[in-house]
Amino acid sequence: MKVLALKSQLALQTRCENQIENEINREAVRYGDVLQVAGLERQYPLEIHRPIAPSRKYNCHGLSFASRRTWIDRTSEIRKIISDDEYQEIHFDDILPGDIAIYWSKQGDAEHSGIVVEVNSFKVPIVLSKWGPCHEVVHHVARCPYDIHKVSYYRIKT
Amino acid sequence: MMPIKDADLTQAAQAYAVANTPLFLIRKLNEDASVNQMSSLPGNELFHALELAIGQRPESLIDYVRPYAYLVALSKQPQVSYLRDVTKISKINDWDWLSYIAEVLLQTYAPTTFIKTQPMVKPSLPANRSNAAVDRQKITLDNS
Repeated sequence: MKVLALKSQLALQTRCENQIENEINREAVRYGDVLQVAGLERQYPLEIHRPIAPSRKYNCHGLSFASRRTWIDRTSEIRKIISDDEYQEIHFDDILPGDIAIYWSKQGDAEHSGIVVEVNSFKVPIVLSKWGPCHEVVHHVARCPYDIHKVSYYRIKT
Repeated sequence: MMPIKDADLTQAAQAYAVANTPLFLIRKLNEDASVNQMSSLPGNELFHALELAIGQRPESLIDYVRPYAYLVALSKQPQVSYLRDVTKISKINDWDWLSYIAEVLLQTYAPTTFIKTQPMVKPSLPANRSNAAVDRQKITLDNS
């Protein structure tokens, strides 16, 4: 059986074969992580909290862009993926399930992302995302702990 | 001033628990009232607390966020020397993002100065008071 390091980088590339900087952290659940999940469930009672244990194996960007395999935390890498994989920004009126929502902070940090799973009857996107090392949540695009001042939507071209 | 270890880092720990990126953590800690309060403590005291926190095994989520909170508090000090020294702490790389955050804070460092101000003292009322008008101005209304 292969022995894996506690932390390592996966060979993960864009379509243009550029390496995407990432880190999978295989360490056990930390003190307090489970309590934090319980706290978030109380704080956001209207959202669907998926019963997935907290971990540092992947984050929101790992869910959106790397099939839940690893943690990506640099905005430069997100920009690289958008450019190399030919994502196109789409207008709010055209959002469809399957599109990617990226939450940009005022400083330009891609501090959160998720996959649109539904556009409700009020034309509000419902997003599946992972909240840092905590669990996965299906949430109203504006109901989450991240900066919602600028959420952009992207669709892969081909 | 309360001891550093008694600072309320509940909000900071909540931010740490949902942080996807180091810049998100910096932003939330910069906005945190307890971190801002800590930043008025002497730099050597903060630096010592940071060294201790880095060397200790965390036993709670608060312990996990402690080094990050102290680091951001150090970045608000009037002198940059302590922040520069953080990168030399041997165990800094044992903590996710800590060395990267220190670098970002160094690059974006803007010195903060704390000024102690005295509360404004109201002039005492004159002993003899009257209702006499003392300072009248003629006001002309413009009808044009």
